[in-house]
Amino acid sequence: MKAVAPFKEAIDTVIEAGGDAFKLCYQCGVCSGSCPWNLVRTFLPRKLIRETQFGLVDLESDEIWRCVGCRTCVQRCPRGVELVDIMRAIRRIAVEWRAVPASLRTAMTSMGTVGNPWGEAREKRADWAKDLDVKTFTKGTELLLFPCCTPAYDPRARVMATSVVKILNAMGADFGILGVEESCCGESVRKAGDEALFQSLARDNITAFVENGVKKILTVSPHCYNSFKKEYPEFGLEFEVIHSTQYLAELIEQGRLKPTKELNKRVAYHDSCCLGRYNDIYDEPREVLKSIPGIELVELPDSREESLCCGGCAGRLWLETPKEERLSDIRIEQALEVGADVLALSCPYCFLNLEDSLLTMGKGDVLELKDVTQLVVEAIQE
Amino acid sequence: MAFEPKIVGFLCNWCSYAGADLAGTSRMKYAPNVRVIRVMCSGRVEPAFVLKAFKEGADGVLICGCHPGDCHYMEGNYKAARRIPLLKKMLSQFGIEDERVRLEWVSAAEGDRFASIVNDMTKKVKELGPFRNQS
Amino acid sequence: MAKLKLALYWSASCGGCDVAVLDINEKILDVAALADIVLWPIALDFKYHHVEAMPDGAIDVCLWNGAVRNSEQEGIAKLLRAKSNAMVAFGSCACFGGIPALANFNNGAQAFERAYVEAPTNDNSEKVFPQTKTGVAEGELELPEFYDTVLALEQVVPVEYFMPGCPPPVDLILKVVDALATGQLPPPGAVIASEKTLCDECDRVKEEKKISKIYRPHEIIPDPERCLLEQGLICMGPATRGGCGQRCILANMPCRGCFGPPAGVTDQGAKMLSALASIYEVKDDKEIAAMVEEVVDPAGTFYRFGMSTSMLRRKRIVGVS
Repeated sequence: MKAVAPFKEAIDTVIEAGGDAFKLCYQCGVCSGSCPWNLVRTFLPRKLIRETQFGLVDLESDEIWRCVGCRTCVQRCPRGVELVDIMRAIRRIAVEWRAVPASLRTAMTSMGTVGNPWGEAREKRADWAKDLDVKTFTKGTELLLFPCCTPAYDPRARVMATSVVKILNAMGADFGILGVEESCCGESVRKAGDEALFQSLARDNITAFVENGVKKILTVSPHCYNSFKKEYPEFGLEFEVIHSTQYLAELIEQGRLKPTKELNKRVAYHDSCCLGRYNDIYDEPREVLKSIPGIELVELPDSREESLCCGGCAGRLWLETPKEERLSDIRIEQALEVGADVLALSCPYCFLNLEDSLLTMGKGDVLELKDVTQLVVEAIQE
Repeated sequence: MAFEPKIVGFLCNWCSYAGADLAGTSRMKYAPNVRVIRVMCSGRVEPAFVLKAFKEGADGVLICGCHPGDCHYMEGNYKAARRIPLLKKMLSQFGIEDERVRLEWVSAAEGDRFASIVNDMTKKVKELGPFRNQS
Repeated sequence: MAKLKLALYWSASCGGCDVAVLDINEKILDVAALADIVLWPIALDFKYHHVEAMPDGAIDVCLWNGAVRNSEQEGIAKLLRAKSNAMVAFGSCACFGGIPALANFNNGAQAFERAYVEAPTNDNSEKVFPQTKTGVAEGELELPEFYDTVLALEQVVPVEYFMPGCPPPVDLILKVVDALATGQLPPPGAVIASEKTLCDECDRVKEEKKISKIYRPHEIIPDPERCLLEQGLICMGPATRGGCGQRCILANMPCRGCFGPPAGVTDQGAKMLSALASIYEVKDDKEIAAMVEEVVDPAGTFYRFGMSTSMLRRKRIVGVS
């Protein structure tokens, strides 16, 4: 008889892939208790970490693709274990061994070839803005607007980018987009384990930014925000990054933007994981919403640090989740329970996921999904 | 000699004991395996009684009370109705089969029902075999 | 007064009780002044043969923590019993079986199968198990016999005092140290805790015990002022001896029952089951079935610490007479 664990080679591979945080874990199980998946099925992060500690992770199992990177576990972990990094490391090994689920592989391939996960042509990246008053960013332009692949290509999420453009123009801001020169920020594929792809996308983007003299970036998506602010500095360069809700909050506080039209809606705000738990941005979107006349802002259960992930982060957007297991369905139910007319969002992935749920649940006539910026645009007198 | 189960029966004074009594006065023939203990109400039957019965050598435990709504003390049989199913779930974790503990509602007029319950339970416990707990 | 002779032994337990003794901090010096410790495997270098060489009754007090689940532990229990004037069952494992006694839902063979064959960290396709005697070139090696059933200390040797708790709280340990110092030990058979239930000690507001749903501890964040049982959490307070300082309650967590049954109660689990079913106010069969579903693991919840001293003691092993 022999002990097959600890399986040193496997453990070393995980450490090399950046997952050495598992060394801190003392198996208390708070992560398993916190993980939102357990609202709809069983998923035990603690068990996966234990298997990692032994070097016994099953790369073929579905469980390694379960984590949505919402960070609820990390926030509550008494030892500060960066579980999302461990999940990422395990997935890196799976990607190297080509053990990636098919639908995710399609999105990754698309990102690698055309710079966006949707399989859309790179040449069409700036089409969303062609009828709008948007110029191309050149050296000397003050602000780079990074729309994110999703608003750029998806007609449903497009309003998130177009709303920001309207505000920027109303403010007379000096901004531009890079259009076909930009690629996906790669935040989700990095969490999904394709480190090489992320590095190549980052290099392409940074080259474009540097060549065009970009200093300040305004993002529409919290994922791009997180990537540029926290991950791109690993490549030695730092840009000033701001999310649209922060920009709006700044304008409103300075009195430069005054929403005046009464909207008369009961609005619940859904904290996106990347804005909230990753970057502690909870107040700015709420300040923005509160400044709109006629809006009654209500809190959802599980809000702010406890916010319930929509289920779209870390590549999960491209993996099939059966109807009974959708966290976004629960979020819609919560919004309906607090009597909201509008569920306000700040992330394109949340937008897609929650909209899917809204439609499949048949609640499109009682609840609306609106981006925070979109609501502000509705409230400014033209 | 064939195995004859020892079944302890907790019968409530007002309905089920009277029902058992009726079976007797009506000269009904039924299995002799139940040892009757009269309690004032099925709600008096604590899970500890059931455990003790098994510990002391019983192969099965029968609890009889008034039909829901007819309890002489109003709520007592509802307590039994909740305790016994939960106890049975726990006993299954102890490897004690479901048929060894049985809760039935028997009214004072249901002598025949009491007899048929005893016959049925005796047959089922006989099939299961002796309890013989390992302690 | 001559120094007392004190022995401490660690049997089938986690070691927390030894840590609890050290938790008395600087008062350990008072203990050292009061007594000579003649056996303490975790801290001092005395061996079994030192104890064997003592005359009977030479040890004044033996603090025994841990349950008994193999022949070595039973042997040492009998040895220390012979050499000690007073045996103290220290901690829930020694008093009631404790967490190790949850192994009574399996037997020795199943435990070995899990540990040596099924565990994912082992490769034991040849199914090699530890043996009580193994011959090697140098002679014969012995291992203790592994019992099917985990026992409390008093099920192996007579015990004078019981200190419940997982581990016993520091203030109760100090109470015993004090009693030893002043020679004012309680009558034999005493449990060094309260004679009442935890509910008596608990400061929370208790209104009406009437629930219609049971929550698992991770499902809600309870109100820190109200009775936890009334909020639908399974708090073992009504069926648990008090005296622990309501430590868990103060941390807003329901009692797990580590102080064992209150005075006068033999089977803690049965009492709690009865109490829970009494206060869950539903009447029809469907609602009752839903209630039963909500108690996910009745045996593990109600007998978490008390399997050895419970009425059934262990899961039935069918087919063994």
